[in-house]
Amino acid sequence: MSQVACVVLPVMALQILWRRRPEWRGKPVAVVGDETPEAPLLLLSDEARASGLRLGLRQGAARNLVLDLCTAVVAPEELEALARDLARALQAFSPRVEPASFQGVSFPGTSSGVAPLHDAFFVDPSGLERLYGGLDGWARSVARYFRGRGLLAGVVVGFERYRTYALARRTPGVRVVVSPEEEVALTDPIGLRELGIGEKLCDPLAMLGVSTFGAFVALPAGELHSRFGKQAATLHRLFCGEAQLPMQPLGFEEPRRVAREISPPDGDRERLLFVIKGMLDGLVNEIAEAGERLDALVLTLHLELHPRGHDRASGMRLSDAERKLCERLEPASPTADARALLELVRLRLTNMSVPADVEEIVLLAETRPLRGEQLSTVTERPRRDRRAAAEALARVRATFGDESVAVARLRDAHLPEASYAFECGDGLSASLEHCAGTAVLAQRRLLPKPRVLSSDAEGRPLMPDPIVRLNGPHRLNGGWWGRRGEGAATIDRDYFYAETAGGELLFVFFDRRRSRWFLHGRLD
Amino acid sequence: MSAYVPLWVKSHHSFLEGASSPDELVDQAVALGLPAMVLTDRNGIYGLVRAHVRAKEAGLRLLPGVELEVREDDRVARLVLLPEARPGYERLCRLVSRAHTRGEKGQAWATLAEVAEFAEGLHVLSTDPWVLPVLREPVGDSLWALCVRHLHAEEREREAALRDVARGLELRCVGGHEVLYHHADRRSLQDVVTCVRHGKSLSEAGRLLRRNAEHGLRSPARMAEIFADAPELLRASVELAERCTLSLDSLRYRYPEESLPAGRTEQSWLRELAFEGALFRYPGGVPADVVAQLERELQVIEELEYGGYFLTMYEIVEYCRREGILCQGRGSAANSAVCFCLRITAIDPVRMDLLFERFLSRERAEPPDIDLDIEHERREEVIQHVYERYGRRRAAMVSNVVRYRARSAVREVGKALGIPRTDIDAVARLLSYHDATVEPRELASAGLDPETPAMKHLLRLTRELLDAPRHQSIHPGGFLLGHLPVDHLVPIEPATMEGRTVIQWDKYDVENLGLFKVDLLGLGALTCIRKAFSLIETHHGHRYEIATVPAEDAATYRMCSAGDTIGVFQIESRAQMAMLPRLRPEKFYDLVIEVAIVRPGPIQGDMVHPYLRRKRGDEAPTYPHPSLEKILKKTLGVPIFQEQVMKLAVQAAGYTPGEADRLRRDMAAWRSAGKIEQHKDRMIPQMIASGIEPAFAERVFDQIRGFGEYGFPESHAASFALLSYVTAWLRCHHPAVFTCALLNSQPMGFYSVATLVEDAKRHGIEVRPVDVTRSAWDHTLEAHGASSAQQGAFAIRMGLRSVRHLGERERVAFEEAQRALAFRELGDFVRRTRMNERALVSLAEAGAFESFGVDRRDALWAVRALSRANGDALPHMAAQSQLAFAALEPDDAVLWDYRASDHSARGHPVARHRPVLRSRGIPTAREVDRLPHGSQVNYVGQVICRQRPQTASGVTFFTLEDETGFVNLVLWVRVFEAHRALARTAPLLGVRGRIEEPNASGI
Repeated sequence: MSQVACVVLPVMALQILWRRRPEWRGKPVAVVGDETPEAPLLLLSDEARASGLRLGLRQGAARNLVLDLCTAVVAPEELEALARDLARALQAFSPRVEPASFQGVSFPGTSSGVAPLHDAFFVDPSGLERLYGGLDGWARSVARYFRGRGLLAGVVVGFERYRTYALARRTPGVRVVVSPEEEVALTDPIGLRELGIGEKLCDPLAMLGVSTFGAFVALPAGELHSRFGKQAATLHRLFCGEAQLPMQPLGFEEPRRVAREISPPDGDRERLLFVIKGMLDGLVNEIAEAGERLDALVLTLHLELHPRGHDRASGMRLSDAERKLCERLEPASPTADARALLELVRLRLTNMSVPADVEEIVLLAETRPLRGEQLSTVTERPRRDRRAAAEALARVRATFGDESVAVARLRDAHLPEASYAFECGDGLSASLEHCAGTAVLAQRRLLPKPRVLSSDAEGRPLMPDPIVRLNGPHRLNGGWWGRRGEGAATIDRDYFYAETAGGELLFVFFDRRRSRWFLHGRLD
Repeated sequence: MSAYVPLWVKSHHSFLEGASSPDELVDQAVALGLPAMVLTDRNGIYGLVRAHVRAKEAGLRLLPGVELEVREDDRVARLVLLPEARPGYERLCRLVSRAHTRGEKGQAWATLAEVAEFAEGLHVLSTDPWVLPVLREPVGDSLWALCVRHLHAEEREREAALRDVARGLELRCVGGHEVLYHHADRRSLQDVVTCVRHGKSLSEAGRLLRRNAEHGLRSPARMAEIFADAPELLRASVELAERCTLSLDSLRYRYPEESLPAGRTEQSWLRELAFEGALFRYPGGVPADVVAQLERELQVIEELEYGGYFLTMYEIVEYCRREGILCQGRGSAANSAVCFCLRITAIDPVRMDLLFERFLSRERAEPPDIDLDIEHERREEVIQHVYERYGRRRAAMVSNVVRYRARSAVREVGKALGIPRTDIDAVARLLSYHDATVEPRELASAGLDPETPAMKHLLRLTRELLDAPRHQSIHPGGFLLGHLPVDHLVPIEPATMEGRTVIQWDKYDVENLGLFKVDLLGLGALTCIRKAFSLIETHHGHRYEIATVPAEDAATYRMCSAGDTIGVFQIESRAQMAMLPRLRPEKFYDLVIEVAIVRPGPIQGDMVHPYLRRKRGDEAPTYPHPSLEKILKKTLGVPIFQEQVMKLAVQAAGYTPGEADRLRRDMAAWRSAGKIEQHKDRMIPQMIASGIEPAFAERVFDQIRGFGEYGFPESHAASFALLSYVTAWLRCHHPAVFTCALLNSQPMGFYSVATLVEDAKRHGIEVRPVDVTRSAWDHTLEAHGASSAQQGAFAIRMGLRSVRHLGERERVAFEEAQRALAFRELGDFVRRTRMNERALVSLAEAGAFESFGVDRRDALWAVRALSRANGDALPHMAAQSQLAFAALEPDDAVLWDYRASDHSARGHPVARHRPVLRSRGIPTAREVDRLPHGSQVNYVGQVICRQRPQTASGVTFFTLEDETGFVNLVLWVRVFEAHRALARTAPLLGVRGRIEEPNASGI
């Protein structure tokens, strides 16, 4: 009879927390759904339980009861990421690894349903006994690996998938079950509540006196279905070993990556570019055939040990970090256009400092699935060409780096300098779209920082070109909550439009707190 | 210096927009030397009465007004509306009432057509140019262009456009600005309430916040500076204010005329009814002193023209009597012989020597205030009767302004400041609802540093926000009735509760204006009494009313003196039960004292122990001053009632009756922090100067402070004591009836169903479990067996109403099916009641199907299948297979009972542990009761009550229960803190402690 193994990380979210905050070990700790006081406690450490806390209690109430309670959120993404990572790690112990699930059984919309099993994996250990000196040795190796990563795991090798799951969840450590009979004897007394099945099913079953694995599988399937529904019946069939699909092992993920060794090492950028062109064509074709587009290209250059012009005898060596140059390039939009990408590579390469000859080039593509786009029926093109602008800005970024392009984004505030902010990164195209139809009549250009002005005997601001008229004041004050503990306003300004003798329009303010004039901008 | 009048002023009654109280605005206006001020709260006149009262005191001319939102197509504008005189005011109230009929609760808007319809007698001010042409013709010269200047960049351009339009339409312009607070210091609070209103934090609020602090009241000089280019605009504001002549004092109000029998006047009909009622009250002949009292009261009523009010109360009471609804007047009305004879109240004020002037006096000339308690399950019937009789426009309920207390203020300010919610929550949890301030130590206790800027802001703004209105809700039962539609006097809004309308003034406003109000309050005890009388009539054939319950029954007082009063109105709490054996009531007045003495007032004033010593005869009554003997004689020299404190203030502290009445109001308005403290500096020195011991003076004032929290006047205590006596008599002589009625009146009172059931069982009453073949929806009485010993005795059969997850739908289904035919078996029950799975599972859990021959687990298995086939009209097939489930252990049966119905007729949860407890030498409650003072004891019991009274310095009181009785537990602060989680949450508690002799235990 074939055997199957199950690896379970009990209280996985707590284990994540302990890795994040080692000083919390030995303290009452609870995992909560969010930071609000109403968030229920989802998982408790033994110390928290010993303090009298119970699952489901609200965070605010719990902190009031146990004053030294430590609480934190573990995001589902964090659990998923660790689960993915662990699944890949387990592939080193067996090519056949399947994240455990109850195969579609869930009670949506309730916190009491069957929890997603991020923390359990079925592994096929067949044929690996010899390599590890028996199944016991294999299981110990797996457990040792987890221990090495600071994680506690239960590893059980048995016969029925969900019975091994039940055993692994109950007992951290290693166990190899010798016969199906032993497996039944060991698993039948295990409580249903220990198996990650929520109270929505466990509670009514417990009312009937059905609270163990054995008692549950002893129920007639049809009758269970008619009383507790399809989900319970499916779970029953799984636990009876009747509805198990063949193992569906995870595939091995291969990144979209291409590498080329340069032999002999070369520092000529034209030649390097030529090599990259060949690599890029193949990579882009592969991406296009997969129905994807390239979001970003990561170019990595591995350099020789010695800087250019120096040999071993000189003793000059580059450090490991210096020998690896990594650049990330973003096209104007997701693309499969190898020429455009090559142009961006060329621009970046031109401005890169490459202190030694290149031994190896690696291209790594970040991709996304292609989305269909409707053809535009608009015949009249806007005067501003968004796409052209985006491409031009992509070239600027490729040439001068990502920080070289920023977007002025409007913000909801009264203070002029707070009413917009320059931001780098995403959202450039949206911003360009917004600009495309905007006709600007007059512009008030703010100085990066208000400039102090001197004042005359009457307290009026002085400029080289004399101010002949002041229009205002327009008073702005606020931000009292920013820095000071008392109620005084942090900002208190009287703004004026000032007209100079030369006809220039200035934007000036009188800072009432500091009793000084400032030039804040000009109008054109 | 040119004068101006602020025409657009919003107080904090413009909910979550204004940041100053009406009092602060008035005081600031006076300080700035303004000649007048218009209060224009948003969409109403919510703060008008308060401002009016303050303005009268301060000598400021206050004018009413409203800021009203108008919508036309997609455009929105705000108008400022000022009535010129009473007709305009009436129209303004009607317009605002109309505006509130649309939109969500708390929102209101009108169309320009509606403004035009009600515009006569109103001055309409607009800042929006588009409004002026539309209203030019209907409003005429009373339409003004309002030019506002807040130093905003775009205002100049907007004003120019507005003035252009006004010029074209030959309209006048007037200058001003929108006032949201009395002083610029309040700007930060205004920012915070804006955040609260929009559900944002300060860092998110952006342009929702005002751009500067130019929304405070300005001095005339400052306004002259801002309007230096157009001084005529300010002159226009004065001129406009002069054209508005209305003062709230001029509001004339008449009580609705009742339909009188032919040939009778209001007064003659009242006299006739009062003397007719006197014959009923005194069947042996009306005593001369009662006749004299009636004559005296009727004369005062006639002089003050309050006859109609009494007739209305009489009509409502008569309606209740006709419909079999139990009701009883409470409060100061019990001081009136007329009320007693009209059967509005049940206490004989002449025999009780109660003071009529406390209720009504020529000097005060205030309208009487009668609070009518009505059995709580039927109060809505009475409310709807009032609406029906007076019409929805002539009867509306008084509002209740929900104000910020420390806890709510901390939460909202903290949220606006962006402080993490868990931190705010930690602080808020340290505050009780009643806390009036937040102190730095509370922040420190929550682990926060009070010295950080954010925490300083939190402390300051929380203090500023305290007592500010949060929103308007509805008073539990206060009605304003008028002979003309109420919306001519004050705007009416639809309440959240369907079928209710509410006025924009609360009970203090109504009182301050001298308007009549009728209070209809719900009281569970009356429901219980009515149901008990009904059960007695059905099962014993005797008919009782409150008035016919045998008086001064010795057995009843013996039961009370033993502290055996679970379920007895007002004297059932842990503290009351502890007090009863010490006070040992022997007559009705002792109960009146008992009701009033276990209250924060007498406890804080340390008046309890002196009274007990004097009552027991351990010390002779003494009086702090010979002049006070008359006041304090009834209570053995110890002030216990509110009236006594008022009289003390007059006699010993030189208060005038009016000032004493202000003291009473300040005591009643205990939530407004600081009002009572104002009296301290005056009272104590004056009492000492009158020859009273300083310590006594201090204690009296402590008591006054305590009265702030639920102090009782004597008449009120007497009204309540009567209900205490009646419920005690029922409990003593008809315990099964009483418990059954009490259970059928839940939720009410102090104890859970489980505690009431356990108490009944301990008193030898058989309580039978829920059974769908024998139970009704309500709990019922079932005759015992036929044996002579059991003749006339009844058991209580628990009804389906005690089972969880069963509601009104299930009640109707069950009663209809049960009426049609007795249930034969489980399938029959499921098919005919068509209850859902949750309800059926609860019934199965509660063992309600056991008489069908299925135990609980079998029933659970069966109903899960049957309920899924519930749509079938045909009889259900028996369950396909009946598995052999393990039988339920007897102990588990009790737990199942609790889970399904919060009680058990079969046993007590602690009883299952008794063998183990016994083996460890842990006694029962009954055994603990016999232990001598000072013994060390271990005890285990179920927690049925946790209390941490403010008067107990952090001590927590527990009541633990087992199958034999109660144990009261006093938990000191350090023990509580060391076992917080257990102390707060454990349903079953094991404790070790020392027995305290009752006389030494706290209250």
